[in-house]
Amino acid sequence: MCDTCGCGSEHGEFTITGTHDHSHDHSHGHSHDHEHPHDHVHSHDHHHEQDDRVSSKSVTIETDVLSKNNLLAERNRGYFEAKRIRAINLVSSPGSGKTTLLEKIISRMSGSRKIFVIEGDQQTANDAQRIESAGAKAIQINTGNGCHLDAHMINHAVKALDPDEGSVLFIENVGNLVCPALFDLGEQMRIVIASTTEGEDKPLKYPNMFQTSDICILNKTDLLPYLDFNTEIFRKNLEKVKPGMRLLEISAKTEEGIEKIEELL
Amino acid sequence: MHEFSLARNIIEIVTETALKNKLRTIGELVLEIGTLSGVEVTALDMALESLQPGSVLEGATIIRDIVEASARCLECQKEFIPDDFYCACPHCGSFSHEVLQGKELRIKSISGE
Repeated sequence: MCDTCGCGSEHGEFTITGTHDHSHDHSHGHSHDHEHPHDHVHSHDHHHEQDDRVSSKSVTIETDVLSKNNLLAERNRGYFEAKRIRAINLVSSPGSGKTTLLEKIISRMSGSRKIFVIEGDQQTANDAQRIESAGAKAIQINTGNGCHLDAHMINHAVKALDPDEGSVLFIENVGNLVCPALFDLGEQMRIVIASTTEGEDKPLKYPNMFQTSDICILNKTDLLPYLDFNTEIFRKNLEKVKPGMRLLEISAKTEEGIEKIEELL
Repeated sequence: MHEFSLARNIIEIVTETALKNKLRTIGELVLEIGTLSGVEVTALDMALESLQPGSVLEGATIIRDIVEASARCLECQKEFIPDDFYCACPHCGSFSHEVLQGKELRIKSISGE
């Protein structure tokens, strides 16, 4: 039972595995039976139950569907602020180079700033292992059938990871340009990564994700000589979706431009 | 795919409200969904349908109030109906606008007994 979110209620299933073999199986049982005691409603033959009859009534809720996620996200944000942790949510499609970029940042910044990573994937702990090999403490969230991370998962992962005060926390979201857009995790900055192998129209195809992000990184610029990708068209498309959004062109492989990301941390 | 978790959130909030208000069965649930909310309505319908049996929403009618988007151009200040996030202002052609409505994703009300 979780003392933060009271998650005795259903909230999907996910697993967290980390550096100390800490395994947190978070599957909640679906025990609905106490919520709708229909069985005694039908016994109308007893006169003394007449008083118990209820007539139809309407209840106004006016609540955001994501209200619980947003509340937990604010809670996470408060925790990050109090511990002066720079929390960054990295979103992109699969294969844009998020993990490679993190590996490079970790090795470049070793000694200057402590980095922690929460890795989100449907399956495997491959990415967390890559991050650990690069020298940062990481924890893996496997979302199972889920297509995104939410504030609830981050809340649990942060407790297990226990990032140092004043550190940088990267949250590598599930590779998906649709679903993670809706879920605030409590991050201070959301960075969307696109790469030159993906086509210039990515911002137009997935406007929600680009609109909700603070900064856009264009990765794999080292491949530009071999591709038909036109950076100016990409920039114009980005400008249509989010006017004024900052675009950082980098190559995680050659490390060209990575210093611009380090300045943000 | 995130519609499935949204459907779960809806059922969770509705279940809590029903308990608080001593509703045993829910006949009707009203949702408010904006055209720019990032939700695929048919996917949300399917997710809700699959989660309804055995939940407090079993047998309930789900009504979706769709909120059409509207925006105000940040250049010429005129209002228009955007068909997407990156639509240009029909009056001056600028892409800078603020969305006035259409991002709603709310549970409005339930009724039951």
